[in-house]
Amino acid sequence: MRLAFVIGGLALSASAVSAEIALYPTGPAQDSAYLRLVNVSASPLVLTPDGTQATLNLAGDTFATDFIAVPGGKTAKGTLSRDGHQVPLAVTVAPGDFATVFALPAAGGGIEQQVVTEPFDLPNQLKASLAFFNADAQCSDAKVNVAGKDLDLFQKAPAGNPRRQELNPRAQLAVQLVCAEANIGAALEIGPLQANKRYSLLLIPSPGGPRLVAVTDSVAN
Amino acid sequence: MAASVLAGLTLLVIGESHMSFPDSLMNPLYDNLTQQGATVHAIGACGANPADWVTPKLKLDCGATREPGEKIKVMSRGTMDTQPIKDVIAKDKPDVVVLIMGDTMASYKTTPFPKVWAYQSVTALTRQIADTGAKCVWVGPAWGKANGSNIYENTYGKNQVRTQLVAGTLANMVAPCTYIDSTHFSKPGEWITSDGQHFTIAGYKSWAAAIGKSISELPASAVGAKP
Repeated sequence: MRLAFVIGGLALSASAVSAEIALYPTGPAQDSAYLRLVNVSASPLVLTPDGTQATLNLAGDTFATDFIAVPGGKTAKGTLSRDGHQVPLAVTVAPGDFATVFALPAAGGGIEQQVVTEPFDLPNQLKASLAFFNADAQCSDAKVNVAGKDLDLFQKAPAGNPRRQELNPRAQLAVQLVCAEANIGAALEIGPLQANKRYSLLLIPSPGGPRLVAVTDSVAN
Repeated sequence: MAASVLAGLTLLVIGESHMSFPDSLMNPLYDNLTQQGATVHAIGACGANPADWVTPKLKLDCGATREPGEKIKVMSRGTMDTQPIKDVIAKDKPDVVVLIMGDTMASYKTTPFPKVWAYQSVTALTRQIADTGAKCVWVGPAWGKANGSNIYENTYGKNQVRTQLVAGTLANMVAPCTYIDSTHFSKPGEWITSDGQHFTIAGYKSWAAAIGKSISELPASAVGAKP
């Protein structure tokens, strides 16, 4: 999925750089920043970035985008549309951070945004990295257990700060959502969890109550 | 003398500006690896970072290639592009890819080090190499030599603090490639440079000898050789 956030006035003229002395690039002036969008609804969600004709559509089984590169420290602006409702999107992601924007259902059928930002730590390349994002306030004392075992994998992630931990790679892992000390829904099979790859568990609201979904944290090319 | 672990292997060696001139790392390293019995295809691409070997960077400022058995071919400004690594590997069928990259990721004049960008760039390349089944060796940046008494005062802003950070970070970033830390090969400032970052031929000969020795001492499994 390819999409560009266009921020006016950022284009720099290469001709402004002297061509007399060859200076080879030694890396960017600031770190990368990334943003992904999660559609918390059965209805399609459309993102239209400001200044472009392109749109990004999330529908059906595609409920989350890959992480899309955005200019660090600049506000990425656009419009979110769903079920005839439109709301502006304006998210600033600091260089080096990864932001997840949950497009939650709001009262009256609108869209409520919840932005969760995660700083990036270099992963242990021998481990798989799994995070837990809690975007459902209705799930009290949220936990994720290893299914069938009284073993906490994650306890409630603080608002705006997901929990992430490194696990041994494995072919599969069954996890169980727990709200208020009660199992919610069936166990969720995730995996394979591969070394040096990042994954997320997203706790989101649904008409049937709190729901846990898994995504791979991929970066869009 | 025992035969080198590289004897009979095919090597694809890719570097940055350090590999892009006649009096650069290109020739002494090519010669060293060839003398160990390897068939070597070497490419230098000025200013190219690892991800530029996934999504090509066009019209490089400079570059050079050296095909097996041939002499160095220096490319003038705007006449060379990087190529998708999968295409190069499909053509060369190397047993091992040797990547000599670090300075194009270091952002020597930027604080803090852009580790997320570097991680994405490095892993984009290493994953594609791993997918081909070729082994991989990553050679990190060497110490430079700052001009004057101010270690931050040179053309590229190369400095010891950032060089060490990049070298250490790459060590934890390049798997499944085997990492070779060039900062172990000299003391800061020991190899003379023309601009703080690029060495004179004497420095490049020393660097080439140290790289060749380090690769020769790797286990056979790290370079795709039969034990």
